[in-house]
Amino acid sequence: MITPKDVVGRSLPKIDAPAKVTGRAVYTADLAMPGMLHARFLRSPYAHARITSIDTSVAEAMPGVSAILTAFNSPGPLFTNSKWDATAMGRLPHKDQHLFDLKVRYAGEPVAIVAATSVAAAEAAAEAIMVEYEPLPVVTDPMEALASGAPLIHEERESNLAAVLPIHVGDVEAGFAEAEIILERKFQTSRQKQAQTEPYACAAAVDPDGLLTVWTPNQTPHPVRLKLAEMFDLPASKVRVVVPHIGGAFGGRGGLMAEPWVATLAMKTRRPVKLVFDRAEDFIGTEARHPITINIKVGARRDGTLTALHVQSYVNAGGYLTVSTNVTGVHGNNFLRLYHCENRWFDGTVVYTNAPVSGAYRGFGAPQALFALEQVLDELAEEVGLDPLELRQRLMLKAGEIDPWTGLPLVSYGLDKCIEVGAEAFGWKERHTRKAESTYPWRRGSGMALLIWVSGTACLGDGLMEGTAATVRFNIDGSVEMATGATDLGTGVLTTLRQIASAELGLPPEKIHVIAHDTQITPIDAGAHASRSLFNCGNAVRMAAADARRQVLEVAGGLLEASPEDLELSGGEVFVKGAPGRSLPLAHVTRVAYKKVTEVQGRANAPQANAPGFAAHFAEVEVNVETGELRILRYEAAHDVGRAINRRIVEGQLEGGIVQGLGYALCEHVHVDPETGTVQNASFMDYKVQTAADMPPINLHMIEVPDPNGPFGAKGAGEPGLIPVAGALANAIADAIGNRVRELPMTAERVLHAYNSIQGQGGEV
Amino acid sequence: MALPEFTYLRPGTLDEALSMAAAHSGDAKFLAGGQTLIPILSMRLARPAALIDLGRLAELEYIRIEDGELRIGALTRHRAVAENEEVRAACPLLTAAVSQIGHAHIRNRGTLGGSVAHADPSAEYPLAITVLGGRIEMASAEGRRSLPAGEFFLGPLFSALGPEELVTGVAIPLPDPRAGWSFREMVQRSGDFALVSVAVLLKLEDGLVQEVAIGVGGATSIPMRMAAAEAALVGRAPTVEVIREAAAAAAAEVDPTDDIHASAEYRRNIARVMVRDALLEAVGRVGA
Amino acid sequence: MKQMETVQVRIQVNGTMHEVAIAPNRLLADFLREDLALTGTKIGCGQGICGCCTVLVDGAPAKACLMLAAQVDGCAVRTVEDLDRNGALTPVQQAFVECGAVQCGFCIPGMIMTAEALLDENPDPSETEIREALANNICRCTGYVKIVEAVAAAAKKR
Repeated sequence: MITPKDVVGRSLPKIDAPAKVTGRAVYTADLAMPGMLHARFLRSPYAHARITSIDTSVAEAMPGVSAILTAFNSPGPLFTNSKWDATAMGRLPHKDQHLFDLKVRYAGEPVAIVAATSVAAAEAAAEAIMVEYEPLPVVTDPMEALASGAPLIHEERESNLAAVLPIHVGDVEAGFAEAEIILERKFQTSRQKQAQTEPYACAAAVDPDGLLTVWTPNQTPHPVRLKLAEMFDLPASKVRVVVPHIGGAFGGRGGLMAEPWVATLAMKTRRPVKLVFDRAEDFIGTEARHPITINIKVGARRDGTLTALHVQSYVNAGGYLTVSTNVTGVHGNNFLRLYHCENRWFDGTVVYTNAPVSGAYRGFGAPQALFALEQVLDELAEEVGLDPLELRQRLMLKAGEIDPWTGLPLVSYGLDKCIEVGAEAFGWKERHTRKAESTYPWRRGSGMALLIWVSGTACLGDGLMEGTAATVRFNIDGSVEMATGATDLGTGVLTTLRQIASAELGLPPEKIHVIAHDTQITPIDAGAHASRSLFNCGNAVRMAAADARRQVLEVAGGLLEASPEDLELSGGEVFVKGAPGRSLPLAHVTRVAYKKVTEVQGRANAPQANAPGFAAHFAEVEVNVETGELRILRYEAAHDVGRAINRRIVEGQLEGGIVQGLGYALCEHVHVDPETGTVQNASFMDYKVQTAADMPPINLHMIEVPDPNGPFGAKGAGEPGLIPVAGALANAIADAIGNRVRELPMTAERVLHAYNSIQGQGGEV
Repeated sequence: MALPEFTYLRPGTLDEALSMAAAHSGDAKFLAGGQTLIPILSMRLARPAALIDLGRLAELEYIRIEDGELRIGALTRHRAVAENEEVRAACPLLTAAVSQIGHAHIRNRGTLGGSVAHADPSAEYPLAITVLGGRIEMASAEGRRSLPAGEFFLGPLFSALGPEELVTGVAIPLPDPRAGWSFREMVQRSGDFALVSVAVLLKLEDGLVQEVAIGVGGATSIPMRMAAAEAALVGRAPTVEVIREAAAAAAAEVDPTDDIHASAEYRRNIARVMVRDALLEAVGRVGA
Repeated sequence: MKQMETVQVRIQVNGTMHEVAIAPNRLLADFLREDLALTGTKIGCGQGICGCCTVLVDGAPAKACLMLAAQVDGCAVRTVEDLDRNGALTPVQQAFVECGAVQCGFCIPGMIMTAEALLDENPDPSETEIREALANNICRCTGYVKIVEAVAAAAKKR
C-alpha cells in the first residue's frame, strides 16, 4: 500500500540530479545540430543615439557569414519583451520596442545580429559591421529623466513618464491630520542582477513543414510561444518552444531576450541557429532588478497605530518598459498589505531612462518595498518606545482577516508561529544583553523583518491569469505519464509534482514518467513566476491524477462487480476496500480499458486560488566601526510553507533565496555610469556574487500550516527567502551603529559613513 | 568571445624565447600560467601577433635560498611557493602574501613572473617584493638586468619591463629572522583583489624600531613604501600612540582613486586602520 | 584573414589519447566542449571566476577557460564525464544527489571536480577547508548549504 504519507513530506532526490552530476544534462549552449549556424549580436556602445547608417558589406563578404539582420532589413513588428501580454488580461504593458530600431535607448541594445558557420566567424563579422551613430544626451536617473528638457527616449511619447500605478485607499490627508507622529524617509535601492551561472542562450530551427522550434532556457515557454506566433504571424500550432535544462532563472528569464532574433535568423537562413551570450552580454543585455527611489511617509498614534501611509516610488525602467508596470504594482502592494492602516496611498511612477532594462527578479518589487517599510517600522517602534517585534505584532494581519491585496481571507496562517519559533531560536528577548559581548571596534545589533507573500498571482486583480493544466495518462501496461506545463528552473518542481501524482495514484514516484519543457506536448501554463509552480501546477497535477484514478476505478468496478466508490488504487493494484482478496493488477484494468479504446487520461485545469506564505527573519550582526565591515553572527529564518512536500527541495529554495538576499543587502549592484549609461562591472570579477567561503551561518525553520487551497497544503517557496533579508539586516545594522543605511547595497563603506555621520562617533582609529 | 588569432611559439630554452620576442619586435606576449593573460585576450584587451608559451622553460622554475637571498624563478607557480616550507621558515611574509592570491585553482596555475609582469597595484607579489626589498630580474636578447621593486613598478599595470623583455625571477634578501612582519588585505569577497593591502617588515633593537618597511597596495597606483610613516617609527618605541601616528602618516601618503568598489576617501581610511593593525601585528611577532 | 598555423598536440582526455592539430587560440574549454563533445564542462564567465569549467589537469583542478588547449600538450585532463562508471556514481556525485546539492546544475560539474580534487588531497577536510576549496566555484541557486553538506558526507563515505 502506498498512501500520501509515504510520499508527501519525503526528501526524495531530484529527478534531474543524476544527469546533472555526471555532466550529461543538456543545456541550450550544449546543443549541436547538423548545419547549425552560430549567431552573435552587435550591441550599441552608446546608451542613447540615432543610427544614421549601417554598412554590412565588409561583414557580409567575410568567410562563413550567412545572414546579417539590422534595422534596415529586419525591424520586426512592435512588441514588448514582457510575457504578460500573452497570458493576462486587464492592464498590460504597452509595446515599445522593435527587433532593431534606428535609435538605441540603452548601452548594449542590439544593433545587428550575424549568423555564420562558427562562433569566431560570427564575432569577426559583427566587429566588421560599420555603424554610424549620432550620439544623443544620456539620462540614467529617473528624476532627471522626468525633469523638463530631459532628452526624450521614446519620441512618440510626450515625456519619459512610462506609466503611473496608483493605489489609493481611504483618506491619507485625514490620516496624517490624526497622526501624533509623522516620519518621512527616503530610500534608494540597487540594481541587482540575477547572475545565473548559465549565460543566456537560444537556438532555433524551422523545418520544411514550417514548424518553428525554439530552444531556450526560458521560464515561460508557453507565453513565449504565443508571443512568437503573434510576432511572426504564425499559428501557435506552428511554434514549438523546447526548454533544455535551465542554468538558473530567478525571474529574469521570462519574456523575450534572444528568441525572436534567433528565430528570424533561422527563418531567413533555413538552418538551425544558436546564440550563446558571453558573460558581459548577459549583464548588459538581460534584465536586472529595478533600482527604485522610495519616498515614504507614515503617520501614527503614540500607541503605534498607523493612521496613514504614503509612498511615492520612482521606478527606473531603463530603455524599455517590459514588466516594469507589473513590478511596480507588486512593489506598491507590499507596502500596503501586512500592516493595518486604513489610509493608504501609493503612486508608482515608472520612468524611461537610458539605463539598461530592468525587469523581473525573484521578489518582483517586494524586496525594495521591504527594505524601506521594515526600516521605517523600526524607526516608528523606537519613536513610540515599543519593541520592534511587538509593534509589528500589533499592526500585522491576523488569521482569518482579509488580505487587502487579494481581497480574500487568510484561511491558513503561520505568521504567529514563524515569529514564535524564529524569535525563540534567535533569543530575541536576550538580544540586548548580547550586545555587551562585543569589544571595540566591533559593535553588535539585532534586527528583524516580516513577510507575507503569494503562491502565484491569481486573485491579485489586473486580470492576471494563473492558467495551467495537467494530464495523467495510464498506458496499456499500467505505466503512467504525467504531463505538466510547469518549468523546472532547477527548483525541483518536477520532482515535487511527481510526488503529488504519486500520492494521489498510490504509485511509487519512480513509476511515473514526467513530461515537461516542450510546448508541443505539454498543457498550457503561464510560466514559472510568483512562487506559483508548485501551487498551481501541483493542484492541476493532483486533480488530473484524481481524474485518471476515477477512470481506472470505473473500469475496474465493472470487472470486480463493485461500485467504484468502494475501490482503491494503490501499489499497482485495484482492490475492494476491506476485502483485500478481491483485487486486480492495475495493468489488467488498463489493458481492458484499452481494448475498449478508452485511454485512461485524467485532465485538469488548476483552480484560481492563492495562498499567502509568511516569514519572520531575525539577524544579529557585528559591525567594525573602523572599517564598516560586517559579520553576521546569526540568522534565523522561519517560513510558513504550508506543507513541505519535498522538504529538502523547499529548504534549498529558501536557503538559496536568503543568500541572494544577503548579496542584495550587502554587496551586489550593477554600476551604471551616469554620464554614458554603460555598465561598469559586467563581469563576475567586478559583480560580487558571494562564494561558499563568504557565507554566514543560516538557520532555517520550516513552519507547516497547510493551506486548504494548496496541493496537500503546500504554498510557494521560490521567492520568500530573499525578500525580507535586506530589511532585517538593515535593522540589525542600525541597532549596532545607531544610524541607518538607507541605500542598497549596504557596503562597508556606506555602513562606515552612516556610523561616522553621527556626531562624536568615528575618527578614533 | 573567441581569442584573437596569433602565432603560437613554444621555445625550449630561455635564449630561444628571448630571440623569438626580439624577432617580433615587441608585438609578442609571453604566456606563463595564463591566469591573467588569457582573460585579457578573451576580452580582446590585447591582440599580440604572437604568444610565446614558456611552459617548457623548466630552467625558470626554481625556489632557492643562497647567499642570503631567496631566489624564485618566474615560472614557479604560486602554490609551490605557498607550500614551500623553506620559504615559510625564511620569509613568512612572502608565504602569507602568496597564500592570499585568488583561490586554489588560480594558485595551481598562476606564476610569479606573470603576477610581477602584470604589475597590478593591488596584487600580492608586487607589494610583498616591494616591502621585502627584492629585485626583479629581467632578460631580453640584449642581455640581463635587474631592478629594485621600487624602480620596476611604475604605475597601474605599467612597469619598467621592456616590450621584448621577460621577467625571469626575483631575488629577495632574507629578512632578519627576528624581524616582525604582517601581510593583510581587505577584500569584498573571498579571493578578490584587495581594496587595500598592507605589508610590514619591522626590526627592533633594544625596544626601539631599528628598521621598518611599510608598503600599501590598492590605495596607491603602485605598491608603495610609506616613507613618512616609516620615518615616524624609526628610533622610537612602537607604542600604540607612535603606531597611530605612523598610520596617520601613511593615510596622508597614500594616493587612492575612486572606483566602483570604493571611494578614495574610504580607501584612505582603511589604509590607516590596516597600517595600524599590521604594525601592531608585526611588533607582536618580533623575535618570535 | 590569414590562416593561423595549427599546433600538433598530444592530450590525454579521460584516458583517451588525442593526437590532433589545433588552432593555437583554441581554449581548453572549447576544445573539450566542441571538438570532443564533452559538454559537461560548462562556460559561465570565460574569465576564470565562476569555476563552471573546472577540470583536472594532471590531477590538479584548473579552469579550462583560462588555458589554451595547446598548453596542456602532454598532460592528462579529466572532465566530469570521466567520473561515473556506467552510471555508477562516485561518492561525491552520489552525495550531491542525496543531499539535494543540485539545483539548476550549471555549476555542478565544476563543483564536483573541485570536490573530487579536494578529497583526493585531503580526505578529511574541515568545514572551513571545504568552504575554501568550494570558493573556487560560484553557485547562484543553493547558497552552498547543501553543497558543503554533500562534500562532508562524501568525505565520510570515501
